[in-house]
Amino acid sequence: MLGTSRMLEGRTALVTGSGRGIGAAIARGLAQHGADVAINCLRDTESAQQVVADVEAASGRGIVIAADVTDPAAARRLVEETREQLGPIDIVVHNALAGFQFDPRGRRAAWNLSVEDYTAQVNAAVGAAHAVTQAALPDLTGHGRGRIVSVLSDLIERPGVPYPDYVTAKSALLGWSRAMSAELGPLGVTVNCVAPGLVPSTGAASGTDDHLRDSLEAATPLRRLAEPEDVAGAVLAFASDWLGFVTGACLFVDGGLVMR
Amino acid sequence: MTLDVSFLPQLTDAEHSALTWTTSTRGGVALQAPEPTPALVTTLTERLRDAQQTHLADRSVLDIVDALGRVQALWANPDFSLRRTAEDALPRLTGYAPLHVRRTLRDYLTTFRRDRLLRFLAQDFPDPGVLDGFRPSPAGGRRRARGPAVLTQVFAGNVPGLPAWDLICGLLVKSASLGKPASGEPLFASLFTRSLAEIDADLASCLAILPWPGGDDAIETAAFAGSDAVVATGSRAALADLRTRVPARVRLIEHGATVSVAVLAAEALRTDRYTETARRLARDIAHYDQQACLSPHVAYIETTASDTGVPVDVFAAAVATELAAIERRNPRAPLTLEEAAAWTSAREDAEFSTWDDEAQSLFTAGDDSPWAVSVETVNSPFQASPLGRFVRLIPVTEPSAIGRSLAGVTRIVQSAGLACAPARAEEFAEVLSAAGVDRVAALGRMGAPAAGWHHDGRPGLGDLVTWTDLEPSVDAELDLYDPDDRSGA
Repeated sequence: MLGTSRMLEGRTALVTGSGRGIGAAIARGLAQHGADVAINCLRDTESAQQVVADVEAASGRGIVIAADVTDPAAARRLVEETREQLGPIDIVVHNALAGFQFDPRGRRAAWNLSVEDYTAQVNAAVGAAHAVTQAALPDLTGHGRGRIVSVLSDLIERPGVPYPDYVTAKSALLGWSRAMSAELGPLGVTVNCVAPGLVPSTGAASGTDDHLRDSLEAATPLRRLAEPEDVAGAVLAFASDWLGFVTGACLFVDGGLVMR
Repeated sequence: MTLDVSFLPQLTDAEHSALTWTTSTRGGVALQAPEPTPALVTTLTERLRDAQQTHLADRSVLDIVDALGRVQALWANPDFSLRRTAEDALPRLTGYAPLHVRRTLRDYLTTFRRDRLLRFLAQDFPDPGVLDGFRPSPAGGRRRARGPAVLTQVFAGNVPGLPAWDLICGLLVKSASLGKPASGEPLFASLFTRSLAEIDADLASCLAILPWPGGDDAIETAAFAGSDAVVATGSRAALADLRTRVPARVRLIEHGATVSVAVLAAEALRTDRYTETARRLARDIAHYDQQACLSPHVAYIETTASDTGVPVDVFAAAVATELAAIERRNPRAPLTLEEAAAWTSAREDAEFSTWDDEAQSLFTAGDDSPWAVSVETVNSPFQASPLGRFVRLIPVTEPSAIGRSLAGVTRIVQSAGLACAPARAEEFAEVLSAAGVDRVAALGRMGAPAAGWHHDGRPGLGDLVTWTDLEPSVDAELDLYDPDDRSGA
């Protein structure tokens, strides 16, 4: 569905949390358009190996690096290994998600959340984005092809089901992203966000029930829920030259549920 | 439309129509000029000498300034037909981006506004009346300055419009000029003289513009024989060649190619200032693609132990990003084959040295990059830029290191663009002055010298004139011969 081209030929991308789900679709999409891709996941799994195989089949070069990006040392090592094996990094996609389950019924709510829950989510989202970006900066700056894309959630704008810790962390990542777009714009890097609606096929969303899906579909102008490739398409656009003059933006990929 | 790059009001209509004309096309602009011959050049210098006597020698300098000010007022009008012609033709002739030519020409034309000409005069002649007659001298007695009656001027072609300034300098010291436009920018001299003719035909009759092939022995011998001085801008080689043909009795004033640098103090790289500093540096680099001598080849960057400044590599990336942005609105002019080869070789050298030295790095937009930012170390001897938006950034830990780096180019270093705290300006200026720099400008303003600038460190007008001193003894001793003799009373 995302087609193929040589648009990103010669560019290296690093996608965190890309062993499966949305990250895997992003990695495949980047490869189909010519980029060499480093696939990152917490543990090297069969699924991650399949992504590498798909990437290699598409662009020729894919590697998998297991690393917990919430650990700054591991994040640095991830960037260094990517650089060593694939060359300087042009595109960074912050997609990793700290262990989180979307579960409307079993979610932690205002009365049973602890401050540690917030800290854990914010550290995972902003901490990982910061650590990976900082390590990759020398590669990203000065040539005009540097791209940073963060994957958020449309819950930051329309918290249909409130996950306060998660929404806070993703909102923080949006703020970080806007600050980075101002910081890194003068160095030739664009920094943008993609905020998907519910992607029911991912593991994290397996707890959502049919009733919620139906009601979301009914409220969505394009009449369906998001698929990983929908999100990958938006990331590809930000990674391409087409949106090279757009920075600090947040694109909602939810079929029109959120309009802004 | 064919544009005439000559201006020969000294010829009669009959003589004019007897000329043989040649037409050439450059950048899609059709240009015509008469066939130059030694006989024509001799006629021109003779008539220029007459015109100087008739229209210039006894005209007051302030009157000349007024006329030139009125010419400037013509050019200040964006709809002035000759300005339109210049804005249309110069980018095509030179390859420089139209927007850049339009904006720099606009700024440049303001430099010969009446008030600025007066300031320019005052820089070399606190009392400009010395150009009109004997005036009291601070040392006692009286003195007077005279420009050469006839000048031959060999113009530069690297920057559009420059010849106008050379012609104005000549007129201010009451010299008639025979100007030879450069092939790189053959047009503006004739446009300027035409505008002068609209305001003051007498003054215009003291200027002739005629292109000839540089180095043509017979023509230049004729031109120099009919002149009292020669003002020439050109490459070192061209000037050396010229020197052999200028007779000993004729004064030669040369302006050879020079290099300029930028100096960025640590405070210019502060986190809240570095993007603006990068913007200004990039503007100076892109100014006529560094061809104008006024643009920096090298930017020295003061690095200190304090952590308030951004790392040099971050600054380099910011400069690179600014150059990329400038390329979008003002693309670099096409390089000649020779320039392109020098550029590529400099870029390759820079790239190779990044391989074995961690302190060096190179920022470009890929293989066909129209700009390059090379971070280098101060240890290497001064290396000029191949021009064409190629800059070297060199970190230094103390201002004196700048002086040491410039040691090899003391005689050809010209401008420095300075970005530092006001209190430190003189500290840097001292270092730069000792290193041979003759002009310190604010970073971002390197391309627009102030009106009183000592071009190449010399008095622009002062260099043209010779002085006659009427010594104090004249007033003191010559009473002896006063027919109204009071001595015996």
